[in-house]
Amino acid sequence: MTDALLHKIGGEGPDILLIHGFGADRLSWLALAPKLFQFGTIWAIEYGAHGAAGNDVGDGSLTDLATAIEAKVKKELKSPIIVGHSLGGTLALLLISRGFVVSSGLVLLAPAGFGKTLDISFIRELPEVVDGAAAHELLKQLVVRKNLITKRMADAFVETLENTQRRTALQAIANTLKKATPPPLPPDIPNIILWGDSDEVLSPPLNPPTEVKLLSNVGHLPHVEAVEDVVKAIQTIIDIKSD
Amino acid sequence: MATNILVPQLGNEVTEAEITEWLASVGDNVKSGEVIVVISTTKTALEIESPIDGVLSEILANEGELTEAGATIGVIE
Repeated sequence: MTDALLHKIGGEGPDILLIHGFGADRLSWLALAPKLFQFGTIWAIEYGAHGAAGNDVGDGSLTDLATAIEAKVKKELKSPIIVGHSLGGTLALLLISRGFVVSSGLVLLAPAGFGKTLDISFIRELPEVVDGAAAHELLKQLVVRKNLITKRMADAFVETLENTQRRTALQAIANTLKKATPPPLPPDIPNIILWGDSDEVLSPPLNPPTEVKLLSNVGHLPHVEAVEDVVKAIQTIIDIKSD
Repeated sequence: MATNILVPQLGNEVTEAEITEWLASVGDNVKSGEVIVVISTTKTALEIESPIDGVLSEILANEGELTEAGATIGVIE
């Protein structure tokens, strides 16, 4: 069985599910999650090869990752609002489009493959890094304010790759993504898409199929560099649901 | 009245954070809600806002230092 872990982070009320991006985990939501406790029960999923989840990623495909998430989420959460970052946004779209999860609203942060390829150099290169200095340079692509990515973070990431099963599993996901087809945006679910206008990892789409709100002077991590904008987007989705 | 700037509680799993950057210097006027210091864990960075209008009177943890969750890292008067 492909691995995934569901973590209850805090708060009470309607379910809000956070799905991290490639190479991240539940702790990457630390700047955002406490600000969401006012809105509901905050959950974070970790899919295979990430965080505390195991390293079984099946064939590394979006479908296998989404199936593992479904197994953890479907019985536990009731019509969650889903906040997905990068690959997590892509997985959110797949979960919904295939009917794996019923969602009441979507906030997507620079969703990978949105309107174009999933062949992203950052995803290809990240599982290949072997030392902290190289990882530091690569991870700094994620942000505009480069000092937000510390050497300590890079060293911690490289340490996780010392587990060869973890490295192999991340490589499997990266290799499979190169050939994957991005899922469509569900037509009937309220959604907001946020994108940093200075995203070096994944540029905002030039001709998006729906409105994309660009965040000024923000890179690939809006939930780190523009926390209040993300909170406002989630609040807006909640308000739409309530109307 | 002096108000302490604290490293926020970071949950059960994260007990310490690194001072990444002070955006204000001792003696600077700061506004409530203004980001004055950035801290980081091994996973992400967090911006810490000033809790009040005032003057940053002390910095108790310098850039690069590791501090525990809940620790006082500066004072505003």
